[in-house]
Amino acid sequence: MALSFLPRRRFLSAIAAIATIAPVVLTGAGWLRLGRWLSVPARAGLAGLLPNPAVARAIGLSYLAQAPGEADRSALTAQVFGGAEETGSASGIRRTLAAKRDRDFAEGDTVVLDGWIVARTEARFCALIALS
Amino acid sequence: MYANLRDYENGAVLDTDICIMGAGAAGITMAREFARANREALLIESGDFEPEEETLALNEGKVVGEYYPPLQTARLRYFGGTTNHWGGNCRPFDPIDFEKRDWVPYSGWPITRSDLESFYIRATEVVEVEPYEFDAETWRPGLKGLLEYDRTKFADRLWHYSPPTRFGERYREDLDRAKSVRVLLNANVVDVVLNDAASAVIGFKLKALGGKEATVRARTYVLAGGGIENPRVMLMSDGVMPMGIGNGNDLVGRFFQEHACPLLAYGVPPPDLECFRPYYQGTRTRIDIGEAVLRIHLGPTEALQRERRLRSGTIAMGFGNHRAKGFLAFREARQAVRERDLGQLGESLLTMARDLDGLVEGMYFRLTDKQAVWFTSNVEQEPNPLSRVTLDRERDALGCPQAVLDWRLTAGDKAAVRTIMRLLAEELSRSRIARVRIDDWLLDESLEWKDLVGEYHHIGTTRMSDDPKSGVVDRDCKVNGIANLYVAGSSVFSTSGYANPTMTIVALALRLADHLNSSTSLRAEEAKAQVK
Repeated sequence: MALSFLPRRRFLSAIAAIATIAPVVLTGAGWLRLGRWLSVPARAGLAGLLPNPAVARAIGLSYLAQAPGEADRSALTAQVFGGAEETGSASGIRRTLAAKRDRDFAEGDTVVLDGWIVARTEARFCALIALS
Repeated sequence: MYANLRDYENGAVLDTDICIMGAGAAGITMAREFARANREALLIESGDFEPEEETLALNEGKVVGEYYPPLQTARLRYFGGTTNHWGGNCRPFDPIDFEKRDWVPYSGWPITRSDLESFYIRATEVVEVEPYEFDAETWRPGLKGLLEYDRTKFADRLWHYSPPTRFGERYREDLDRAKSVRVLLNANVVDVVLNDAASAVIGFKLKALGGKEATVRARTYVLAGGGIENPRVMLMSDGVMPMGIGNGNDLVGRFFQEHACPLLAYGVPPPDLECFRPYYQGTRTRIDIGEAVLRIHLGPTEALQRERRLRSGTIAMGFGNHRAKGFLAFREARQAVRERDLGQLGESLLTMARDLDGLVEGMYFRLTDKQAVWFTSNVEQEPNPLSRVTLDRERDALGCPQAVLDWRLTAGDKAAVRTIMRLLAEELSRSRIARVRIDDWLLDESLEWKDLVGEYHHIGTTRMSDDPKSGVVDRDCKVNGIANLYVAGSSVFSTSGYANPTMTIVALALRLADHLNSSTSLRAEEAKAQVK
């Protein structure tokens, strides 16, 4: 299915804005303050997908459109953060996400979102943001 | 020594030991070897030293099947042949390219990479890419680094850039000085004459534009006219074998393969551009063994190919502004305006109109200075007997049937490219080298190939096999069933591999020359039978 020009631009912007990682703050649920914690991994890492919450939500919604059965915050949280050393510290979360992301790519557990090859952990993480 | 058929008496007969049709990479390479061995040879070339419109037009033909540029654009018909527009990319085939693989139909050569190794080494001198070293790791000290990724999955596939060697210019003097080799220009082979038993060639009939005719009588004959011309000449020489020479099993012209290299994907470039440089442009590099201009593509390792049943292939990366057709046409239109070329301007405007999306995206990239890394493929095509060269009813200026090219790609070909691209995208992402977006046309099986481009590699149309039922020539490049007819060039390749064919063409030509220099060919008395 050919996608329209505009969504492609948005994804491209999201992926491309790796030099300027804006803080992503989840309010309401009071979970996580992702912000600059995620800017330290390599520029093309998970943080590159999250220049701003709106784009992260768009990526998350795109994933949930493909996998509607995963639209469950508890299940997604367990999948994304399960097995983390600590869920409260930024460095712990970062290590967990980075390791899962790397494993996803190594094992081919990826999804295609608007043509972009995205690790499933990344997509689920954005789906969590979309559901918040 | 050079001569011109136009200067000969009409009906002349030329006697020689070995006659080669075609002064391209293969023909000139062989002629030089025969000169070194003081072996008498006649090298026949359709054109002159410079291109002439009337002669180039002899390459016209029809294209059906997949999109392909006009055949007279894809091939050149003057001394030096298609090396006159060769890009200079040199790399030997990989060992796995020669193997029978049960996941690639019709794969398997009757020779191995080891059989060609010594000839590849010699070929580096011919195409001017010494030293013979294609391991990227060896060249690392001369580079600012190599990309770091999982080398159990993918590998750096190194190309050397030839200057590029224009064989006609580079070796013209060599052949002029050669005592035992003559070059005959403006001479076209219009018929390969067989004896009544169809077991041996007894002559080439030649014709020049303007009408002069002649006959060559040799002990051994070699067709080195390229992957379209070789089968064309064999098919049209139907005086004794109505289906064409060497075509008892209906294989001449079949299995036409090319290297499709459309744009596959874009990506966000890596942070360290210096390290990335040899992956997107030729990079001059010096180490203790010598200096070379190198470029690296990424391809699945042999282990990954076997594990995942992948084709042999590489993905090339480029870096810069957008490559969409619409945007490239915009740049061509600007150039056309500067040069007041209304014809080109019209074409460019049409292309822009047909690809507005690409034009707008390209403008976006340019205006925002967002340079992307782009990806194209060189993946071996599945040998497909339905992809073929045949003869047309249309005749050229010499009265010979023109060629019809029916290039066919399969769903498997597209899937092969998609699989390799996706695996590479995953590894580049994992390694934090680049994030990749694959184009819709590649991801969606129902969509056609987009902006399909070939590389003018005409492969497989007189393929090599130990079994005459699956090949036109044997492992020595001799036409099955014909005692003294050989074929040189990429038409004998059994599979296409991913590497540009020129280096392998030259290696095989050196091997064939050695074979002919050392073997006893058909006795002259048997070959010089009466010619009609």
